[in-house]
Amino acid sequence: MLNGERLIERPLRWGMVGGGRTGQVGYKHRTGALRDGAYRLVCGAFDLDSERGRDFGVNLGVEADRCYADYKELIAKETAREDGVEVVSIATPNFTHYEITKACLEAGLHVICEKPLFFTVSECEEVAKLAEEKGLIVGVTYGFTGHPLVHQMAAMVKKGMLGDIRIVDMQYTHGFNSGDDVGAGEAVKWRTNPKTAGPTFVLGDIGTHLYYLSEIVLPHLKIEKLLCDRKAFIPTRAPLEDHATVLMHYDNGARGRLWVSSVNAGNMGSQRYRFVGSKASIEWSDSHPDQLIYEVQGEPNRTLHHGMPYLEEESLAVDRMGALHTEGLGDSWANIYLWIAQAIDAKNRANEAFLKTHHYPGIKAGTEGVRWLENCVRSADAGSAWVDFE
Amino acid sequence: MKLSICTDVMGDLSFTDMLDKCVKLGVEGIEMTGGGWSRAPHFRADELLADKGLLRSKLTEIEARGLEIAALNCSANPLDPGDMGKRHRKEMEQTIRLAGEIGVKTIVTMSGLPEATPGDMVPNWLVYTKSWPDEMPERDRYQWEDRAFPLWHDLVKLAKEAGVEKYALENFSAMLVWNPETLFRLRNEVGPTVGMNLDPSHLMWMGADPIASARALGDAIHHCHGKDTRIERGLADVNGLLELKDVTDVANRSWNYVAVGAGRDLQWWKEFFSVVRMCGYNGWVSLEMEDFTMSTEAGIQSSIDALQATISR
Repeated sequence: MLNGERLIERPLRWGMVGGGRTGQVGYKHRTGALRDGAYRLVCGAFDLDSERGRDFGVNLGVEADRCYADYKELIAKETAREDGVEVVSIATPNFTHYEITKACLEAGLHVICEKPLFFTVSECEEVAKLAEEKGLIVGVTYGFTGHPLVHQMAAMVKKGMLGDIRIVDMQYTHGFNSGDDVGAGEAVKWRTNPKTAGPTFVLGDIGTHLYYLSEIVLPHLKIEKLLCDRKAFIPTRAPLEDHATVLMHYDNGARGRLWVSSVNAGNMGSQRYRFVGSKASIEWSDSHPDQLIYEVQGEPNRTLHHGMPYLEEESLAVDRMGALHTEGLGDSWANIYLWIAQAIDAKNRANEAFLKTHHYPGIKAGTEGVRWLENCVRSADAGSAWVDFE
Repeated sequence: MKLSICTDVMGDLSFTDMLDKCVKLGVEGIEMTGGGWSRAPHFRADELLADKGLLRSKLTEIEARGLEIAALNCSANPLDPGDMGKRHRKEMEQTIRLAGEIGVKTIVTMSGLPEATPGDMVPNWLVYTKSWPDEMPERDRYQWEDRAFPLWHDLVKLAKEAGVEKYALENFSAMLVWNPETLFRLRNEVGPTVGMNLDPSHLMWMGADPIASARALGDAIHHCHGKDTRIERGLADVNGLLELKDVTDVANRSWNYVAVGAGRDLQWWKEFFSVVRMCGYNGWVSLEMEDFTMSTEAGIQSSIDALQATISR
């Protein structure tokens, strides 16, 4: 069980690009990074409005002269310092991820980036090569994949408790964009514009979480074909989608169904996963994150609770709160940040043996997320046709 | 205890040749120099902080051979009143930062020695009673309170920021800290981050008994050097132990640094390491080889043999 003790020898000197006062996601990054003493926030370019960014950073405890106007100034000034930043989190709109990540890597800084990582797989591969050459880590923040019950599901599948996997059913929906975009805020504007969001809206914004989580639970399954149907119920969002369904064929014959939507009016259900095998099914939702439904054919249904000693050791190893108390998104982010810190620490010491077995959402996870999106777009643009997964 | 070697003695070898040599010698760790008086032939802190790719490739080479970095060394005088002091302080800080980056916990260094009064151009080692002449007490106070304490408070703070846990100050001559008592004078002021790099060779010629010194230090032993000294019979009796002749003038000096076992016998070394271990230290012992009476090769080999036979595993 994790208990907040520092698991690397010294806090990494950490900075943020974006994540300022006007957005929601910056707090999630800080919640994750600052929990275990694995990072120390030393600088930031928190806001496009540099004065507001400086005021915000100072309120967080960052020295005023280390609150910068933009990422270029941050890189230039921090790399000139002997105690300069070593890892930068990028919590900015999608279209900036690629250039900021590249600039950080070229300056010798590790990167933690929001998803979807970039617009194209070729950009991902180029950056992966650069990171490899420079000996640097790129982490990707897939929010809920640090939750102990996600790792319980993975352990149960690995142990064969479900039998052969037959059906994968996933849903991530909400209704916050059910109305039109007249008077919409900045967050909606950039997400619905292909120039700033990339080739998708809800698929990249929330569907990519479903895809990566399913990869953790079912690492042995590969998608062979998929069919993506996407639609903008609010026409001004076209060519991007505010709703999509994806059907998937896996290489073991399993069938998958994935629904993402931001126009599921009134819905606050958010994420739901159901994995069905030949012997049993499991189901987990972030609406009730402490509980994992475990249904064995012919036996009474069970509700497994996080933090309980009957869970698999992979799950208990990453539990933080203990069974009596809710374990949620903040705890999951803390795990992700900790795993990335351990990867950075190992990379700094060239400890490749540790990295070979260490699990964290890295450049490969980010690349596969973008690959899945590219296949979805290709299918949808071909008239919702089945396409071979490339 | 584990055996390592101060790699400066192999300064004529390339980094990879040095590592291969260490593997052949059978040591488990290496103590490399980041800056200071040494030209830091294998692991310059400023160079590696500026080039993380080079740093990682060096670490990969070390890891690939199954070696560990026992400590980073920066033997220097950060309290020198001239430009050297400024440079040494900077290089010490760089070595600390580098150690922090790569998870090395111990810095082997020296306390430094300042001038005796403001305006002096050179360091001044006060080793005579401070009660007379009358100006001595103020010189002593100035050196410690005005010069050494502020520096070491800063360095302890820096170590904490960087993730370095221990300073191991060598009980070296011409430094403010040169024996257990002077170590505690500093440690009592700045805290237990500062401890001793217990190097018996200096204590031997100063007339101390390093085994008794180890007991006095207790948990203040932060690192250990394996290095021997021989008091040269006949010469020391006539001239005493204060010795200014060049270290290479071995035949005429009253004492010499020698390969381990060529000064004190192995029974003494066994007792020394046994007591050090008894006092709670079970870390690295780094061979420092400075014997000018034999070839470097022979000096290293015979010292390794002696240390392997005597360190307390």
